[in-house]
Amino acid sequence: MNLGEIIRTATANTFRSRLRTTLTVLAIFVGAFTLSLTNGVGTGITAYIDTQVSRMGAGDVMIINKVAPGTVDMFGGSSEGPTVHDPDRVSALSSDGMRIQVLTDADLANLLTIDGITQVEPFVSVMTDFISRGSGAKYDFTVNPGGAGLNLDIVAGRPLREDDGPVLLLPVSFLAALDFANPEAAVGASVAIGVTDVLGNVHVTAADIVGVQEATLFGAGAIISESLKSALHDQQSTGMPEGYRDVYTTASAHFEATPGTSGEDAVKTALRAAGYNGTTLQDQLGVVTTVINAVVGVLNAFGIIALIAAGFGIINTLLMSVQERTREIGLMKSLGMSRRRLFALFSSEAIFIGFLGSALGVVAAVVVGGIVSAYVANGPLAGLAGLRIIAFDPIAILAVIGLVMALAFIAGTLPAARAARLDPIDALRYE
Amino acid sequence: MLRNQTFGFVFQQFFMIPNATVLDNVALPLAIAGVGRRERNARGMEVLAQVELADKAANRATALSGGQKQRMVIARALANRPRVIFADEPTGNLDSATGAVVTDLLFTLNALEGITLVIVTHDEELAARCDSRCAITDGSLAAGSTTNVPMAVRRPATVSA
Repeated sequence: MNLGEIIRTATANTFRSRLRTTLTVLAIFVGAFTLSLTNGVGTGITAYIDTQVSRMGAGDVMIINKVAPGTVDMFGGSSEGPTVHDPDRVSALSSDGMRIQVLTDADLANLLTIDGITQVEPFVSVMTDFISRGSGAKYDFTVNPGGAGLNLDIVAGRPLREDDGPVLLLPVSFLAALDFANPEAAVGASVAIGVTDVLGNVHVTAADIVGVQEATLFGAGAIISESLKSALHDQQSTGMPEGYRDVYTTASAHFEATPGTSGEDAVKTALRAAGYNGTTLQDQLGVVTTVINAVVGVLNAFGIIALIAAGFGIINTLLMSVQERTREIGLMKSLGMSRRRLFALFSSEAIFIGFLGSALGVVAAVVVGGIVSAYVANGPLAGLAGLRIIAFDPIAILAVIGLVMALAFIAGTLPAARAARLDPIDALRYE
Repeated sequence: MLRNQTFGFVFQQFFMIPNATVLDNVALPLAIAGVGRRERNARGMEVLAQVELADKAANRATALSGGQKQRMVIARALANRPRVIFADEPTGNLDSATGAVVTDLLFTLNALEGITLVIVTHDEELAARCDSRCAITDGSLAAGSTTNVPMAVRRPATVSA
């Protein structure tokens, strides 16, 4: 019996006991369905994050902040005991009461002397109060500190340019509130943005809308031009004592190295030696990705457990089949069928059952995944444009089918070996 | 290979693949030998014609009567053109009329095709038609073994035990 004949016979044999085969296939179906779906969630979310990251533009940007000497503990001390106070080091309290180190103009100049750092821009944080249009109502308004570097989904108008005057990109969520009928109507319109300085005086600045942006995963708030940002910052700093005006919690720096290589590590090491900490976007996302991978891994484990349970189903089904067909196996052996071929025959039955279950499970997962993604994208997560919560990668799908077939083969070895070992005389005598 | 190519087997309880067709059952030794489907079917029809079952080729094996089943099994034994056919109580499950048909078929094969028959039987009449006979009691050769035709003739023999 050649291989093609064995596979044909095995396929036909699986349909001889339809109910039993159907139930076993169903068990595998559940496992394969779960595994494909959880895999799909992983693929979908990772793809979304990757797109968002590519929108962030250049990978050769680091976020830099200053680190206190030694490892700072919760009380401002370090592992080597309390840190000696240095009156020249400027620090600030963060919102949760932790002491954080800030960057001054001297630090920015210092950073430029570090090998590999080509350009440093401080993150100017602007605390805006409101946005309004004409004599309309005022709405709470925040500015995205990320600035012009982001490549966003622009619904209407254009992205920001470096030489822009005081202009901004309006988030779509503000359209209705500011009484714009559609995104196109907002482009070119003028709005007023208000900030409050430390003395409590409110300053209002006029700005033009050049574009309308979709919401993004990174940073809420509107993107405004550098010139508008510095204008707002100056107003906000009115009345601040000298020395507190030009301090920044973080700065962004371009570095001259291929991201993700040892060149990047060298720049980081140099920064650390100088007392700064550099983190790329990849580093920050690494944490998110690790968490997502862990969650998907746990979900996948459930799918695999279901598949292992289904594997026992295959063993059971085939053992019954071998028992039922003992005399037939004896006949085939007495007619000269070799052990190897009998083993192959029963293994093929197992693999075919695995294939049936996994193929059906994967197809069902793709269908259900498509429906769920469409529902989620239009419902609960409509705010995240471009998110497909469950996406399918053809290679991952083939891998699931391959894995299930391999598992089915392993499950089939026990019954198949039992069939192959049968003595023809005993088998024919079996009642 | 020896079992597949040289020997043919005829069992008292027939032993067949229940839901397969008569033709597929008959062609089973050929399938095991790795013969292609077309050739298998041609040879299967040939041997079925020999046992006068060609019109039942597409029927399910279980739908045949006892005599037809035994003839089908003989056709299966013939499929690979064996030199020896071992028949274990070939008439044991059949009434005497059908038994006679099957026996005649076996002896015709011996006479015309030169196939050696080894028949195990309790039927004295059937045993008497064979060239040599060995009586076996509780597993050992007993007295009363005869050779009707001298073994030296060396023509295809029929032996009953």
